[in-house]
Amino acid sequence: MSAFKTPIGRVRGRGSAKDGTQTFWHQRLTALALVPLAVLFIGFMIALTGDDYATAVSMMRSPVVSVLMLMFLLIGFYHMSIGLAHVVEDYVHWELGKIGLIVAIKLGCLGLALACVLSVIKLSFGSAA
Amino acid sequence: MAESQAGAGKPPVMRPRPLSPHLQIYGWKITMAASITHRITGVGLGIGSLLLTGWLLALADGPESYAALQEFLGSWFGKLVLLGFTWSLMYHLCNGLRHLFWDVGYGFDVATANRTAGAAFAGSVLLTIIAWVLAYMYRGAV
Repeated sequence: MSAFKTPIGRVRGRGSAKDGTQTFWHQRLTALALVPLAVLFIGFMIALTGDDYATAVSMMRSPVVSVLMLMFLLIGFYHMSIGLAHVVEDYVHWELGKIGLIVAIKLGCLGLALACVLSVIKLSFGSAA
Repeated sequence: MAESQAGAGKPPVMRPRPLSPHLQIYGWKITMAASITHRITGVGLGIGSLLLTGWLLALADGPESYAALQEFLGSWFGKLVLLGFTWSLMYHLCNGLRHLFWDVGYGFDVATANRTAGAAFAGSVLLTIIAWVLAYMYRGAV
């Protein structure tokens, strides 16, 4: 049936081509941002090793730590959702399974990101213990 | 045909014919190992993000939850998971830098690509060791 359609008819309704490289670009942009953020995250985790609960909580109360942690988490989970979806697109060829997995990845990453953000905000406002 | 008739008696000298590229035909190269390891560590970090989420939730939940999580992380299995998480993050970071340099057009020639692949493997192991040594120094133990 599509053989009888004109080229413009075939592409109509499939979205603008102008954002075709958006995912690719966002993957690179988030990767670049994650280089310093991951280094800071590793440093923070090393500094926390062996510390008791009160010290860990008091460090999380610092606005600088909170903001950097939120940036690392939000950008990290976004980068992760792009990467994991990419892996599924490459290896899962059953269309329904592919779409199901990609939806699960996107929703899962959003859920994890929100759980992390909620925890960081709660700690930052100091309502824990 | 003419060549094989001229050299009668001897087996015809054949030029090696080009083979169609296929994953099973290619020899294993370090750049291929670096590429697939980037994917594997990426998926590994996805699993590791569950641990990070758990850690933040436990910290926000209170001292009891935090103590329970710390106990798990202190066990041999917890330490193994944490070691895998650390190395995956270091490797994905090192090899990610290679990707970023490729994206701006550097490091594509075979010699450089081989060298940087080796550097990503060696560097990630070295950085993992440094991170763990620093962590144990902060801990005051060992």
